[in-house]
Amino acid sequence: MTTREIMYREAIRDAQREEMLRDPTVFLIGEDLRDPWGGTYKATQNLSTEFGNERVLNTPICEETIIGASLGAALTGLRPVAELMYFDFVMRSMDAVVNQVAKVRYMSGGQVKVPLVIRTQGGGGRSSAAQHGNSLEAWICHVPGLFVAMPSTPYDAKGLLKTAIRMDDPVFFIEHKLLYMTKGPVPDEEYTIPFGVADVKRKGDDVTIVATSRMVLFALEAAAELEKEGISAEVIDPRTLVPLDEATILESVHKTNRLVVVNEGVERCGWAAEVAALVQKKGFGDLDAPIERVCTRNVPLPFQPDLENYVLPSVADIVRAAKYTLGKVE
Amino acid sequence: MRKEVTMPRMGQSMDEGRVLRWFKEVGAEVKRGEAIAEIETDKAVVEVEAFVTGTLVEIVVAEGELVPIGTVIAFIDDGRPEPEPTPALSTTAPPEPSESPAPSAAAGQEVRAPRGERINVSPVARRLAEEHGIDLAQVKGTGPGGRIGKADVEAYLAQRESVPTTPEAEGVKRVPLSKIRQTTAHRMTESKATAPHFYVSIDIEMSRALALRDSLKARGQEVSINDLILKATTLALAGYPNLNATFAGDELHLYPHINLAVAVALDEGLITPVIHNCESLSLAELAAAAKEVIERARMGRLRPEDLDGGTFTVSNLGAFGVKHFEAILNPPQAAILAVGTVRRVPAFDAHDRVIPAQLLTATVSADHRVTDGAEVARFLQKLKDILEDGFGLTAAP
Repeated sequence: MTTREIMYREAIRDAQREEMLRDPTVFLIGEDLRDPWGGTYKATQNLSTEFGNERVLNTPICEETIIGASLGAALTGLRPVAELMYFDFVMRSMDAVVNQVAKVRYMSGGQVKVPLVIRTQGGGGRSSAAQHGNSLEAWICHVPGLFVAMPSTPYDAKGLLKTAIRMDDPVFFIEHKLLYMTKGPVPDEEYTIPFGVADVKRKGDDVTIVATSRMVLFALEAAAELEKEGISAEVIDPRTLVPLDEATILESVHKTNRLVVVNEGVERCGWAAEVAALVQKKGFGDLDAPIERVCTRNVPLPFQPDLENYVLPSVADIVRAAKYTLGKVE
Repeated sequence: MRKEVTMPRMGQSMDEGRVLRWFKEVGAEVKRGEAIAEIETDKAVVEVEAFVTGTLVEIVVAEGELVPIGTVIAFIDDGRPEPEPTPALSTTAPPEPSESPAPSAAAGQEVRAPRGERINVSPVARRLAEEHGIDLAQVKGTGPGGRIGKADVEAYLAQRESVPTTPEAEGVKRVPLSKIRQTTAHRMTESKATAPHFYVSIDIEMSRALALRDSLKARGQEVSINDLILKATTLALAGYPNLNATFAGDELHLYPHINLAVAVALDEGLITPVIHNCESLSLAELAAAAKEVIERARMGRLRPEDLDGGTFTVSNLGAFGVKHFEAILNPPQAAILAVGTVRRVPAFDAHDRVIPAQLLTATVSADHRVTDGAEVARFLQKLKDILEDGFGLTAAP
């Protein structure tokens, strides 16, 4: 199998392109998607040129319109891929997302399907300040009826997005602004990745680190640091938060007896708490230490870079939490 | 105030337990931490301790009964007044300020049963300890705040296993303990650890006893040497109640009946079925009762009452040619008799002539909290007299 090193944003674009080629009902809708701009993070570059403007729609700056129009299209049998430029802007369309998109299949008794993918990007680390750097995945996971994917690598991004576009239920596809330029191997051949299957990014024996999105890269750096001190960390990327691959996490904790959950959302009522609740319930007898959470502090995200770094999870925070579960930090 | 004593959970797999024995009778004073009953779980025989000092006022579950965990098995009155009913909250009559705390509140506090000190232990360490039968109180915690972690339990296990295991002990076959083996391990360890044992032996000339056995056999009555020993033991014990007893803290419990437990070796381990009320049985009846209970033991058909209420144990390794051995006390009994084989040896008669003698060595292990060497020696002397004389053995009870 031949592979190429490509950027995350190229993986996102390639997945959309391949699905547009495969299925004429797939189309893109969002702000500034068309060339020459090709999307704020260039995830739709060249697609309007290749497929024409009728399959790559630019909208006014109105998220409720994007989601509402996409839902209508999906109900008629099209497969829209909608882009929300910033995760923070989902608030402008929250009624459509929560009350319509997530529920119409259920409320129609299954008479209609909603084959809609909502792509967006979140996360801090680039001085985007309090209104452009939030990680709101916990909000979305809280809504019954929505699937949630959160890939950390180009390979996962491409395989999961292709699966998402083919699904008949609404999918929130959450990217990260600081992952778009990261590179990774992607096969030339066609492939897809099923939802609900975690990927063990690194094998280890002493502590399990479950991390999402960009935090997976932080967790891998932390694992390398820990290895220097003789601590073997296993890093698990669930890849999809809904559905969650509970078995892989529980099996790992059964082996390591220790768990650190890393998520860029704020800690309070966050996604990490959900994983902690899962493991204390189904893996109680496997735990040798309290579960640690490494998340963003419970404050608005600062613009000032030093403050922002302080508020966001860091590699050092993960190292410290892992050592804490091993009783090596008081 | 009456407080409940419930069937405790002694392990994850336990969902019911059997009361084997009440150490206390209704009306007895009990101290906090004192053993009041013995229960049998699926794995072991354990003691239930009083969690409060007071009077045992009611026994709900009788000896031999099997009940689910959490079932109330007895009540202890701690001597404090019963709490008054908590006054209902009222918006019209707020409680008047009082100089002392409300009695109902104080009594309410007492409702919480005192519990053993909580052990700070991680879930996986607790699970490991249970799997390996480790008492967590013996494990030193090295985690934050002294928490016992998995590593601490593993270190304890490694230490425990390193003691009897030599470095070249590869290829060791690990055999899980049978229930009987577990019970024996637990009870014998407890016995040796709590009862100060001492041992007294005597040689008994068995010629007349053997002649008695042979003549009974000629008349069609099958009686074994062991039956003769059981009968002689019963007769001898009648004069030595301290050896038919239990040490119970600040008093001795002397039993009105002689219930002999007989050690029976099975493939899976040792078991001691009981012949009840031996003092009322003739030699023939005793022999029949012994035969019946030993057969039931060998066939695995023992009834709960067959294992219950033994007051003295007889262990006989004579069939294996053993000359002499010492037994460990069968708790809560105060004494146990260990007998070897009858062996033909030269001896001197009253005229210093060498004659053949049939000697049997009998050894009593006794609880020094209950009795002393001289008393045990007198008991053995009595046993010797009965067997050497022979006549008393066939007398009606």
